[in-house]
Amino acid sequence: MTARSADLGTTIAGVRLPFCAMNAHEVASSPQELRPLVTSRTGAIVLRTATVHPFLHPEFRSLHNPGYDKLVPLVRELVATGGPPVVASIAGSSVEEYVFLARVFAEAGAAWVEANLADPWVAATVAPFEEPGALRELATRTASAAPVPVAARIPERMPLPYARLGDVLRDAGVRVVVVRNDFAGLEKFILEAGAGFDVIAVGGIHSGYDVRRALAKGARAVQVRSALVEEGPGVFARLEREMRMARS
Amino acid sequence: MEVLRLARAALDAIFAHARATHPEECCGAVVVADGRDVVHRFTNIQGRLHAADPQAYPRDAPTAYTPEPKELLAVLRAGERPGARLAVFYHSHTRGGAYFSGEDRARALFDDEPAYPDVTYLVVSDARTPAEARAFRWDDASRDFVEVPLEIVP
Repeated sequence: MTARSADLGTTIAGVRLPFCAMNAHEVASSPQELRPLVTSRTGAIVLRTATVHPFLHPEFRSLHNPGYDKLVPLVRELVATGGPPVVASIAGSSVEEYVFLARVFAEAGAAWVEANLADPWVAATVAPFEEPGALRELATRTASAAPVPVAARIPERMPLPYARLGDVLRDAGVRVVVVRNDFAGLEKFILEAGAGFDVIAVGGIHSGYDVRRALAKGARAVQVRSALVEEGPGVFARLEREMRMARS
Repeated sequence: MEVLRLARAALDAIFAHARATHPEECCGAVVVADGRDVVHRFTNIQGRLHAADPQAYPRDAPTAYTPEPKELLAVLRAGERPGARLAVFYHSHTRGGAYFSGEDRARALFDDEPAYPDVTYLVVSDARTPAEARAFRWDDASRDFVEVPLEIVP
């Protein structure tokens, strides 16, 4: 995308989005929160991270979800509206669970699957960043199981050098990375991980100017958290309006 | 509501667990495997959570429970094996009766929907003599947890 272009859409792993901003997975969890996104200006609808089993453990609140079997019908429902592409976020307690969830959500119609590798529960169980072999197995098996693109959402504190992370993800066929929108995340990933990734920056997006800045740093899209919580789905129309102002 | 049938040996094992952890609450699950009630004890990590972050976890283990997450995961998987099903989550109250508290209800729901609609929640009280046990299950009609009869079988 260039500053001159009137088109504020983008393409992620071959999937065309009408707008380059979308919700972050943790923002909208219930069907009541997700359905209004269909008629908003969001570029995609990202579901709350799903696990195989209902997850309500108080120590891992960031992963609370009703279980994949409650969210798969919601993917089908949202896809059937003909609205923005639907993205499934998944987290497993094992490689097998990632593989299973990626396949199930892809078959339900998700445009891509976001493998959440950033949650503390994932670090406590699958531990994909303990050594590159663990990440390689997880990424390779998940990407080959899903008939849609797989994105990797990486932790704020990346234990592996980005160069090695990039090598492993490229080899596995993972071409989309969701990374924190700051220097240690987005900018270092762009600088060090090498070419070939569609990068989605998450966090710190409060205005269209913030979106412009993230895109200028190399992101292809952004995910919105607190601004969406505070304003509701109308935030995407505001971001779009402000991006057009920032362009002029 | 459908009665909860529980083997006497399983209930005795749950009471024994409650006595063993007193004055802290105990928690666990019952998986029915090949027709047998198998009691799985969870470690209650509430005390550790409370000690680490009393603001986030204001209750200590004598008044609350949180199962060790990997033990919980192992039981969820055990309940999915062929011929098996997760039937009961249990925990104890050490100071009051065997009632289904507001906290118990909140922890069993996600977005006002039951996380495990087919699982019965068994609350035991070891503060009373003899020990008390009552069972609660989600009721679609009332959209709440209601008490279900508990039948102890040999």
